[in-house]
Amino acid sequence: MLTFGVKTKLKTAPTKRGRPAGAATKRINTRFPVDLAEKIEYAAALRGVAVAAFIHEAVADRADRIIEAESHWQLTREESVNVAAMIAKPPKPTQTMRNATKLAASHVVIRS
Amino acid sequence: MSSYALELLAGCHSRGEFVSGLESVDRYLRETARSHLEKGVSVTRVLVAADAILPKAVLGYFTLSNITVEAKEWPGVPRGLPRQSVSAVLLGRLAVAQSARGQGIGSMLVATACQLARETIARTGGVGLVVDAANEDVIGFYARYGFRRVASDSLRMFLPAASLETGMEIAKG
Repeated sequence: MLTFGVKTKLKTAPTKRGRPAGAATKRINTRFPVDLAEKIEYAAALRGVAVAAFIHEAVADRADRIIEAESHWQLTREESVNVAAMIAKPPKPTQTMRNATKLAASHVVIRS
Repeated sequence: MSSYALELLAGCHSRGEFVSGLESVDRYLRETARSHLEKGVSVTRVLVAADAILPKAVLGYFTLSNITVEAKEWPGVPRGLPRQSVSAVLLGRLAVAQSARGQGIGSMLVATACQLARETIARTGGVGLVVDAANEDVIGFYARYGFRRVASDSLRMFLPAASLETGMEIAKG
């Protein structure tokens, strides 16, 4: 196992891509398996950047995508065709859904 | 008398003991859900025994939030849907405790999530309920409730608002 320490940037205004700008002030230490650490070092060398900068960029991009996926959905052409078709012709509730609702109506109370 | 109660996640619920078998959703409940609830990012509700003693064991949970849906075009959809963006409700996570399997907890969670999504849409608008299946196995689970996959290579599924109406109501108390 190898350990990389990556300083994260906090306490400053977020940039357009959601990553804070300014000085790195918080350190996150994490351990990597040797083969993954070597792969990261090799990839960073190929990109010509420091390992910390490479991890920073990769993790920030991944974090942006995850956060975005939970609040914003940009449909592809295939997705918009399928979603539009369902809105235009909504499927009737399935028997499983009706059974589930009946079960919940009999046994569940929503308290809040 | 009801056997189970759906409650907003609170300090009286035993989050640390919850084990669904999927570490990511267990960790979310343990470490993130309350913070997201307090900050308004998403709302987590837990199913507990109606007569549970403190700390209440969590039998299952789900998380709802709002999601903005954008499409460059809506091929074939009736006129009137804005092209820029519309809103929907996102069922981001749904999990059942391993210790509570075989009791229909998953079904009751889906049904209550659909009712709450329907109520949100009735109040504030929305095109339907979006769900993110955790993996390929879960796709089949949601498909039985009518959710359809939005793309062949995606784990995201959708059920339009009109399909959330089952004609039955789960009581509030």
